[in-house]
Amino acid sequence: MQHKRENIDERILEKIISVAYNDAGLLDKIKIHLLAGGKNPDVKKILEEYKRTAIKIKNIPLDECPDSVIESLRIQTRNENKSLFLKPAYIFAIITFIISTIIVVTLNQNNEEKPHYTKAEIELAEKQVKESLAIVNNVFKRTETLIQEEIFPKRIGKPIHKSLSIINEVLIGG
Amino acid sequence: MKHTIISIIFIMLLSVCTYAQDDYSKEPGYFDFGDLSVFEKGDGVTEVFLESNILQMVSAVTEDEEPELSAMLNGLKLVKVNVFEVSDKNEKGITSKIDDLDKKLVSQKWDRIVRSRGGDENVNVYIKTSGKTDIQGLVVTTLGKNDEAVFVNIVGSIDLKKIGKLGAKFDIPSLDKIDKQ
Amino acid sequence: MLEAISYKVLVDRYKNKIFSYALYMVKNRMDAEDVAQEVLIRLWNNMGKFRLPAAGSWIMRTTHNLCIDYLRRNQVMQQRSIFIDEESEERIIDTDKGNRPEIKTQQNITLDRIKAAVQKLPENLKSVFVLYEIEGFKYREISTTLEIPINSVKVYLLRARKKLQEDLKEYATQA
Repeated sequence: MQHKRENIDERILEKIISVAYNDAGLLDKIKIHLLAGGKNPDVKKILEEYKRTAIKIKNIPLDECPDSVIESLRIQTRNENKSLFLKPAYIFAIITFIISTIIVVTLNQNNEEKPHYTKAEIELAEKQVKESLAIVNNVFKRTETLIQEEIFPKRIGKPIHKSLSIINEVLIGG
Repeated sequence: MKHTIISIIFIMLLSVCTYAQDDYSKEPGYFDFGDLSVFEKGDGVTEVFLESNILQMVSAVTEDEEPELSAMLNGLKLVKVNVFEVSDKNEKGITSKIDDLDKKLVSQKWDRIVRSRGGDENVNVYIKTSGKTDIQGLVVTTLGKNDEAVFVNIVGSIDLKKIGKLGAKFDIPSLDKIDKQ
Repeated sequence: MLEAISYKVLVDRYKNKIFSYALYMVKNRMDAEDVAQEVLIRLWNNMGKFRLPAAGSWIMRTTHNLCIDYLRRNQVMQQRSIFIDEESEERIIDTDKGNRPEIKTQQNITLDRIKAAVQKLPENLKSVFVLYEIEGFKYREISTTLEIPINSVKVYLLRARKKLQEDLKEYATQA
């Protein structure tokens, strides 16, 4: 900073900065304002410069935490009420219900008709699968170029984030 | 008592697994893009929807000639692709949809492994993992300005390397659109 | 039940401070989101282990420590971002390329430029500066959060203000 600092010692500069950022004591505020108002024009200049910056700093807003971070929190509550379900009557009821479910499901499955496909349908599906894979490969190719040129000029030694290790392994082959 | 409880848990798991066998919507790697019909205007609309049954058929049919493809398809439960033509009219809507899907995917604990914005194309790639390395789902959304928007969801046991390798094999430059089923 | 309510209140009050602080320290959104999520999980797991009046310091100390861990582990990768957000990089790096109509004097330094200058501060100065100036914590709270004496907080704050002023002055004279 190329101000004329010869007339301003370090202690005064500290007080100027505190006044500019509005956390100086009352005496310091009076002293600096007197200096700025009269004897020392450099004090005024420096004070104004710091004040401008301080105002901008005070107006920096907090970055908002994305909703996805909050939504992904899973709060596990502990349910300590165990005793009820260990009573024999409940166990018997649960076993009966489960066995009934298994019987119903098994019967239901045997009655399901397996779908039949014509040769043409299977051939079309084969074509569609190949084309779908080609689309995905296209995306990977374009992304690989971007990653290799923009992000990873060197191979990663030991990726930390799971995604990085996958990209490193799959798309770059490291 | 301990054996009884363990037996109950085992039987419950067995019955749940048996009952849910063909319900891909319950698979961890499945993702519902919601209603995309609003973008289905114009000629450039294509859709692929291949469930487990047909994928198994294709796997069986290609076993001799394309063993790698056959093996890969054997582990898949669903392949879903939607492609739309992007125009000035629908570009904003598709961009907004992709942003909404991004938030939904992240909130459902999908790993966003690539997000590229800028220039002529936006690309997002997400994976759903089970354990350290097992990938159970892949989602890709792309938007090329005045070109195409693509939404892909592949569900099942996925090996990204194999998908890439097979995709490169089938990437025919002259291919324009996917035939509608 | 009471714990859940207290937790919700703390999350609402501190989530943006946690995320902002993490963003300044680790410099990319993905890691900042990871840090924020981890802090909030740890907060839940430790509810009842600290006095509620001291929650703020506990939360920010946990945030700060996690950020330091991330920075240490990712030293090689600090410049990388899987998010190739070309537009936002241009916004941060490109403010002096004539894209904005303002006259480039000290009076018209953009918010983005100031944030970039804050990000460039050395870690020890930046953490004090961000906690005090941007997040509004007091000297004593910062001293507890960063586990440094109050005098060190004041000294770091002064140095940060000076360094910031020099950096912005240099930018203005170059423009």
